[in-house]
Amino acid sequence: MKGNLIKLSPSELEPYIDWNFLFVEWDLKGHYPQILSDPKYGTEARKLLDDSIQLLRRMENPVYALYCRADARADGDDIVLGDGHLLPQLRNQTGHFMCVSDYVTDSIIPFAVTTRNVFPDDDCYLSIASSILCDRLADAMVTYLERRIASEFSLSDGPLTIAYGYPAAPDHSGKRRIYDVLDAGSVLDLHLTENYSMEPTSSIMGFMIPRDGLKYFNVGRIGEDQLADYARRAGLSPSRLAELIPNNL
Amino acid sequence: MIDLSKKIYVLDGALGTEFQKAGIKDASGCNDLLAISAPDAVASVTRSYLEAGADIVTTNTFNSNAISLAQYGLQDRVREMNLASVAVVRREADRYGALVAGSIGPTSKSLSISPDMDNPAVRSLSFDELREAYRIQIGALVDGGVDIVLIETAFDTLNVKAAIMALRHDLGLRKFPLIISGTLTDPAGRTLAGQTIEAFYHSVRHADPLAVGLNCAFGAEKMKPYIERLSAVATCGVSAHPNAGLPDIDGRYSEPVEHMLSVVGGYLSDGIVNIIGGCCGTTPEYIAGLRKLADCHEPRKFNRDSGCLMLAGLDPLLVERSQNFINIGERTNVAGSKKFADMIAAGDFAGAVSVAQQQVEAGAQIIDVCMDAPMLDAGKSMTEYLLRLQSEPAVSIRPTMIDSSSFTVIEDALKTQQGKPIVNSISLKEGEEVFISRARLVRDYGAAMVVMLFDEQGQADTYERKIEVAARAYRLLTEAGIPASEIVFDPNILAVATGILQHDRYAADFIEATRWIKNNLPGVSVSGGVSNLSFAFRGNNELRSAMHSVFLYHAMAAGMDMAILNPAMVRIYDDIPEELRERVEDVVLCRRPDATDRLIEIASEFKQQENRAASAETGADPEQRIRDAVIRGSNESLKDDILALLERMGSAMAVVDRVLMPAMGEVGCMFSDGRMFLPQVIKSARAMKSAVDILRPYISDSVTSHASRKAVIATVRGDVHDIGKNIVALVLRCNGYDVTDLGVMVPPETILRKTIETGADCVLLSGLITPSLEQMAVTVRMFEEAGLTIPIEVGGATTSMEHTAVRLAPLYSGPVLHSSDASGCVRILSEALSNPSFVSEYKWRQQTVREYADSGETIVPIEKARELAKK
Repeated sequence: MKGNLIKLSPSELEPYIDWNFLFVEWDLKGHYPQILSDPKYGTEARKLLDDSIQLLRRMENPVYALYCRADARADGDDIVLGDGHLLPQLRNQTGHFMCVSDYVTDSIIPFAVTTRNVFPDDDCYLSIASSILCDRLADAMVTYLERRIASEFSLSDGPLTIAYGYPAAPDHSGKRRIYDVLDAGSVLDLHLTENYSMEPTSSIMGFMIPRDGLKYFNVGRIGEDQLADYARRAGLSPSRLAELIPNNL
Repeated sequence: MIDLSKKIYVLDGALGTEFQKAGIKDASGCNDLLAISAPDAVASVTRSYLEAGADIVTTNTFNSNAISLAQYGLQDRVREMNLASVAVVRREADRYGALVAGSIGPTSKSLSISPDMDNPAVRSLSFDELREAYRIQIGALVDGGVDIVLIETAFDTLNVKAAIMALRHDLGLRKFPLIISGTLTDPAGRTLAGQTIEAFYHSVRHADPLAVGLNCAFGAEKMKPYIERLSAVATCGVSAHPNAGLPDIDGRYSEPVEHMLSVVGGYLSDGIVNIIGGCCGTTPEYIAGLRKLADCHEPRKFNRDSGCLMLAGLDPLLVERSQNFINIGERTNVAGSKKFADMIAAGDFAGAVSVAQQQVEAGAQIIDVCMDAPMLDAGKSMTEYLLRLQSEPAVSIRPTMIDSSSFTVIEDALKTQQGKPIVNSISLKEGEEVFISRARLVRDYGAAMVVMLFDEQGQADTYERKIEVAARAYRLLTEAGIPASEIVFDPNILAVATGILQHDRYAADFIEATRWIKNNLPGVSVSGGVSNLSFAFRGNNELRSAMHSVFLYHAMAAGMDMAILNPAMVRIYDDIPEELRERVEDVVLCRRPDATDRLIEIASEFKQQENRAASAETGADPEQRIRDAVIRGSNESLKDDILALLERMGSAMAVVDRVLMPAMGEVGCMFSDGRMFLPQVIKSARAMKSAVDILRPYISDSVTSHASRKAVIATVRGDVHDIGKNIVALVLRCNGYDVTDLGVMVPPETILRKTIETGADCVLLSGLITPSLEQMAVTVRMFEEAGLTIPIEVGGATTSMEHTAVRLAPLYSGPVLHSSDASGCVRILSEALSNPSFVSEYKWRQQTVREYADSGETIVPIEKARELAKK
């Protein structure tokens, strides 16, 4: 095992949960906590939150975070790790021209967070509610890890988290590299499909950049030139890459 | 001495984390002992807060009660430790002219929460044990010379009520300055024992505190909305002493002082606090900052007392005529319900709890609990039942009415109530002295009281007697210091139309007495038990409900605020057939001498009608109850009704087709209309599933589904996400679709094959990750090649209207639809399947999206972008 493993219970993670997304996932439209007093959604929103908290306290699936501190430097748009691993990144071509590698000075924290829903699924409501909570728990574990990294690195507003499959690092295939860097398969019961979907689904992979004041951004649409360049750096064919990031083309 | 309207008082910050920082701890592990083992260290922390400008410093006695100290074996040193701690802090405070608050913690035990998941009626500590522990601690703090008693970090209001009882009643310190500070533990803004902040306030308000507030919890920022809510209701001062954020797993607090001050500054500039301080993780530096802020802001202005009765379970309940009439559920009364009495006698408490649940669902806002029956141990049954009700949140959000003729039963019941209940009842039956002392005791327990109009001579049955007893009781209680808002008069509803002449005016006299009371005794409420009224017509529910409705209509107009009744036994006044209504009205208002005879004349007609609908206790029939259960998503007690209906209808499929499917159809409609939301729909689907499971053994295999539309749904190849897919599958089933769910990671060939095999009318593709978009395209292309044109709908986080219009729709001759939520998904699909013009319009809109899609931003060449990035 190359990294540190943290294991927390759902109750331990409760304070780190961002409840906003609970309402999003249940199609209740509004922001938390205002939604609790919303004339249309308020009653149901409060019931949902109460139900979810009750359920959370009955859930027993451990939530894992595997992470390590990796020496890293930027080489153009690539992040090069001390052990030779390469994490190619995409650069914005439409406005601010940023690339995640611009943020890297001396280290990053690759991480994988995962939890497997073990709640019995014979009740359709509880089965859906517990799966939704598992997604919240994975997210809460990332928040917890951010706090921990902030305190280890004495940061005042925390590291910047780059999760693969999200706007700053839209290429899901990056997960495979993090998986290898962490040797995640030897520690976690976590698997990638041919299209880099993670099983169990309540999982997040990416890395944190342990510096203050970094701003999250969207890569947005890229040109054919970067498509070819990135595909070469990532060892993919341009057509395969186009299938992986259709929303950026 | 303390005037919260003059300035904002600054309370000190954390002691524990300061000791920790200075590396001081007691060898016993109990830091409350430091006043004895290291008095200089304690004095120095106190001094640092005084130098920072605190107006109030707290004693280091949070755990100095016998319950908490028992874990260190220090339970015999309570008095010594409290006295020592006050002595140290008092000495320092006097040098600065500051006030000393004696800190009282909640102990680690809850009086409202069962420590045993399997037995909700168990408690790890009794009310009287805790009350005695607090009596000793508070006695020592006061003897030692504190200026204020500070009950803090309260997570269970019943624990607070034990402390209030010790201070106000047992020690007799009725005016001693008291601050009560609760703590919230879950993000829905409830205490650990479940109360909202408003319910918490109304449950401790009887203690006449100097201030109520919040401390600890989840940091200043998240605490603010709750302080605002408290500030909006409290007629006393409001205090806040938040944490420095949430602790990390190692117990460290990280919120920077400047940030915290800027947040707390908002409390002051918004004028929502009178006392401000800090809890875990806060420091003298923070308190010094607070001092500066406090000096340049005005204190919060107190609210005026509305004079309304406020009750509370886990949620508050306002009793105000202009707001609404309050229904008090009576089916949890052994005198009123044989079924309930049998359950209690048989020890079926779980069944008895579900009766309360049904009452709440039927609209009861207060639950009347009465165990006065000869075969029962009323005291034991009452407390056991009340404790069990607390584990059922649907019920425990409501206040209870503790109904017993035995005051001992009432007092024991009060010791289980963290909220603010109503006692039913006290009266002048045993004379003024007993009456007043009971009223005061009820008040000390934080309950409102029903005063039955009964005196030494007996029940007040005429108008004159009713108003005479009411006036006397009102004078005695208000002179004894009981606020009028806490008094609920019950002017006795007695049976009419009994054939006895003297009974004819009973209802009319109640109504007139109510009018007199509301006009002459300001502030009080009026209640009564309605069922008595129609005892003469037992067994004729149709007639009885008409009598109740007519009576309530007139009594409410006269000012009646609440009634104990079976909400299912009341109907809308205007819906009562005119002839019946007139004759009932003659009886209720005593309008003609032959009123009773005329009502009896037509009574049998209505009895017959009723036999049709009569069933069990709630009055509704099984068909209606099943329909309600599906719509409400309630999973309980379906079985009997389903089996009864099966027997009546003779076929399981008939039950499914004629009752369950229409109910689900209604759910589907309400969901599409936005009258129901996703969580409710999923619960309805669950209820539907349980109903079908009950019927399954009676459904023969040869019967195939009658569903009109068939759908195939799958998460595409390479993607394992299934929450959205499962939700949509359920919602489709609710809407009458026969759904074949192929699961996750389904290759396009399989989707195509299953679609053809099942003869599906539509296909739904789900995906969360971006590469799934390509899989959707592959699948759509394959459908096109196979010559299919049925609607394909895509959904999931990665899909979008644009992508569907630009990349998917052009690949297919049929419609490719997109939706971003479950309700839209079904609505669009159903439209597409039934309405050809919807499809052409949808395609036209996609064309428009395609035309505008490419007119986007300029893409700068990557080399240029890299150069520009460096600047």
